[in-house]
Amino acid sequence: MDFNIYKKYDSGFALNVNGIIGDGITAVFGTSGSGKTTLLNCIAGIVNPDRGKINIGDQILYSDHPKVTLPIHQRRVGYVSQEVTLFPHMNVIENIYFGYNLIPQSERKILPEYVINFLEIEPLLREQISSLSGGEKQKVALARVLSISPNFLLLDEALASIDQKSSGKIITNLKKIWSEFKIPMIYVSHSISEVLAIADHVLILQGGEFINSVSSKDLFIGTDLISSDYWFGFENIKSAKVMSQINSDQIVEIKIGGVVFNVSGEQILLNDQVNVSVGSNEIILSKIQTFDTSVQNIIRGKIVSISEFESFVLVCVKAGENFLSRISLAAARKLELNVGEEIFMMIKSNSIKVLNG
Amino acid sequence: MNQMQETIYYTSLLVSLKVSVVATLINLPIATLLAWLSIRRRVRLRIFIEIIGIIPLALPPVTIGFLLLLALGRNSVIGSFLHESFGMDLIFTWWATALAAAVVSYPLVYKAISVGFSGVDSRLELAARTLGADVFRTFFSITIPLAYKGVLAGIIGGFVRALSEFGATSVVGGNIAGETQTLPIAIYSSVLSGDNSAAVVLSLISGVLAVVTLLIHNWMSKKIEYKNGF
Repeated sequence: MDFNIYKKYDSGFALNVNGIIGDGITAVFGTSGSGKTTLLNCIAGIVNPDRGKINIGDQILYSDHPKVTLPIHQRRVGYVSQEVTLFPHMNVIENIYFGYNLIPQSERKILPEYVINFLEIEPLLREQISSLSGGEKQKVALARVLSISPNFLLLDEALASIDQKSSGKIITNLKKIWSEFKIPMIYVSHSISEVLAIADHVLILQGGEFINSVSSKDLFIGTDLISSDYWFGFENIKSAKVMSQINSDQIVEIKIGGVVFNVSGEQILLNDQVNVSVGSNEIILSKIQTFDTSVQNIIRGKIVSISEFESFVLVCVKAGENFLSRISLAAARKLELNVGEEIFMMIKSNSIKVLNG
Repeated sequence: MNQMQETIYYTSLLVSLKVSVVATLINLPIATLLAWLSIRRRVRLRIFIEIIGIIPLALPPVTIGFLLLLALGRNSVIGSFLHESFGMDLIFTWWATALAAAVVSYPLVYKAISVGFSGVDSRLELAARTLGADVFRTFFSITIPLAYKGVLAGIIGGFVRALSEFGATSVVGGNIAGETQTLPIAIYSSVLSGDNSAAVVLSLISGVLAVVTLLIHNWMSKKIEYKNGF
């Protein structure tokens, strides 16, 4: 998709962006009021730009010269918003088939049955929408948009309305959707934790304009590209494989990026693929490896980057995967950390939360 | 109860039902379209739509009847056109009575449907559009089923109001038994002629009709509620 959008509102706010969205999952990160939803609304056809163009491949969705405005219902852009918009007067299966029944038979590339199976929602099919949990609603909403065989997926804060536990499954599903259906996605969020967990590429939107375009990996290292407010509560959300069953000490072993971690008290199945979350403030850094401690995870890693903010320091440690640890300015001064040196991450087993929904 | 009285009960009931059903059928598409334009499309003429929707409530029904008499009489543009082109005279026919009942009951239908439409989350309609539904499909698959309470209240409210209409209908339709004599006109006629027992029976019929209509409303409401899983 390539676009060049200018849209000004009576309030004076203007969205003025251009860019190319490639394959995979692209995140648009920005604060409230930065223009994220306006961008998605322009692509979906809910709002018309004042000028510019929006193309998906050869298909022109909008152009001011020559004047083209493809109606919303002909765009085939799957849109999942923060407020789940499932139709309350239809049950789950009627919701899923609503769009599918409207597209020409020759263009039905993805079958609802396949999507239902893929997202594991068979038990919900006859349920009324009001009886579903937040996570289940979001899965049904995804199934509904996938069933129209969309050319593109737009996800507007898709995890915002569901609890953290349920978000893990949705994150897994979004990644699976890309690998299975190869539908490019734009994921909009103001949560940097979600963005780094989901997206391959990040566009940073501020005041209606893109101020940066970076890969997720680069954002882990270049944390100073984003204001400290957004890093303060950062959660490292990682994909993990369950390596053991719960033992007599109530510990389960999981593997993240080739490194084994101990997690306490979680009822998860052997060989399951799960998402886990570790708060950046729950990772304690130590220059020496100590065994006289109650901490169950002492992981050797290497410092990749150090970003100093006004009230804290973010240290990116590579231990199989990149982890961000938030430490105080005083701690950073005391440890005299340097990029490239060895460091030990100390994480309590109950600080690793399994997000399985 | 004599044969003639029985005939009046029967014919006035039938005329009332016919007039009220036709009045409701006239109002339903007009009120639905104008309410949708006003609530969803925010058209420039919205203020006029709102005024049209309220003015019959503010005017005495007799005035509405008189205005219709002027508008549809043989000397008016519409009346002379109908007479010359089709040999048709609307005044003092049950059509005129139905039209008068429609005008008087229109505000109730319009307002109830407007309230129904305002209660529908527009994001659901947009979601339907992004899923491939055009405006008409969205309207009939999403808007109307979700606004059913308002639509149903509009239908029933308009029907009941048309049933009870007297002032406007008597001016444009007169009091022709079996043609334009509705239940309220028949009651008025019985009272004037001193036949109080007939007036009581006709009043009872009106009351029963109103109660039955409201029971049907409740039954349909529950049935749709159950079907929709609310």
